[in-house]
Amino acid sequence: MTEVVDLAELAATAGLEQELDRLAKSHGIIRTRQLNQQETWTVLGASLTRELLSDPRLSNDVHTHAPHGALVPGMAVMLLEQDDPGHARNRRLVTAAFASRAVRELEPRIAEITRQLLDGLGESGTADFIEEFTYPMPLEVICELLGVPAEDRDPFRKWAMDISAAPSMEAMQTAAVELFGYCIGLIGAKRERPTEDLLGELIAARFEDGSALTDEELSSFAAVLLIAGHDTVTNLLANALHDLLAHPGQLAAVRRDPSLVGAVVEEALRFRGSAMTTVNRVAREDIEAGGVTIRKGELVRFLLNAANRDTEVRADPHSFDIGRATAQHLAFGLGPHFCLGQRLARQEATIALTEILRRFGTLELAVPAEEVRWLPSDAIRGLVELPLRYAR
Amino acid sequence: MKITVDHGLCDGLGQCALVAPEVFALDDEERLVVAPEAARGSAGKVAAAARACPVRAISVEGS
Ligand code: SF4
Repeated sequence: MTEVVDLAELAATAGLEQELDRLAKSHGIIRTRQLNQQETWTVLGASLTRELLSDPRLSNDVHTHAPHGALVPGMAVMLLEQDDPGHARNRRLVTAAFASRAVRELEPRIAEITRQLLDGLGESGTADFIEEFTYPMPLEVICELLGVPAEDRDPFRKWAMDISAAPSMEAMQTAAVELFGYCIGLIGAKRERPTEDLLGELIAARFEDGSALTDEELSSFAAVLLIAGHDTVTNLLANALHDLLAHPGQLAAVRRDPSLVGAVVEEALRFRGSAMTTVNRVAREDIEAGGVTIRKGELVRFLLNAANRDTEVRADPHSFDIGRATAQHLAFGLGPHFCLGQRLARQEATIALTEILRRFGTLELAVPAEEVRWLPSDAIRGLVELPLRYAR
Repeated sequence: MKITVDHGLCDGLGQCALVAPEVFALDDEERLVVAPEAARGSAGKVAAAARACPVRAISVEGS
């Protein structure tokens, strides 16, 4: 296998999914070139993904095993770039905030944020729904959850865009360093004046042995949650709207029966999930997998969107079908690093889509379908903008 | 083999059930139910399921 695929280049086209399908048919695992030009193994096939995502021979701790694969050199990102036992220990500390009951309690606030933003759109018009809704909505939610003051929220867009759809490695690292810097300041301020939000709780939280998270850990966690907690939902919501509008029959079915929104969210996650690839893992030893040898020290990541369209697992995977059984899709990963925020993401998407459909009887793409542009990212699957025409 | 689940930790994520569905399942209230009889002969899968749990709610003794 000699082909080295540049995912960001491919992602800039609507044809990414078909191309991945072609590749997956011949190889369950391929070579890809990352943003910083380094070559990585990328797993496409669903069964290989399931197998390797909880394989302890693959480590998330790139800082120890392959520093060139780290997101931000020198800074181990909390949870994402950690292995057990530290990972499980930290994860247990924050799990309560994302457990089912805690997330259900957020429902009224999510609904209120949703309604306020949609009120701002008026009765009818044309607008970029990403700008006006799918970007600000989850950002408000995660900022409230963490306790980020409203007046600080402006720079997040640029940081988030530069980190997940980075134009270059330098831009990504500059943004990450700025965001970490901001979070360090935020944690410092909260130490001085305790607050009752998630970050306030984490500052006060103690492990069984009485120790606590350090400022660096707290800041890195805040940064991860800010980015992962809104960028993924922004793009998931936009992708879901885009794909649903492209299927008028299914749109009509959800309008008739709003209880189908849950099925729309699940199919959107499977069909075009926004967290397209995982972070890098590194092989602790040589691993034979999918007909190749992954050498010790080499980087591996998972292309969840390809696994979710694996023809071995699902019939007709390239069609968007809210009637299919989507159970066991891999949009949130699997194993120890299974997405911490999956309940929150599902709840936000369900509330937002329900309200948008209830409110606007007319909702259609305002530009020809071939004109919508896709982000040139190797991490996030999403649209640059989503211009919609809407009316009550 | 003895399988213990810490229900205080388990958040009903069902990751274990994806790995070893014959041993682990979630009931309607998202509570984890374990079928220890089914675990016999599938020690490897049970261990993988325990590893897959993000909060390490499952522990396994013996084989
Ligand atoms: S994976 Fe862990 S948290 Fe999830 S259901 Fe199983 S035991 Fe519970």
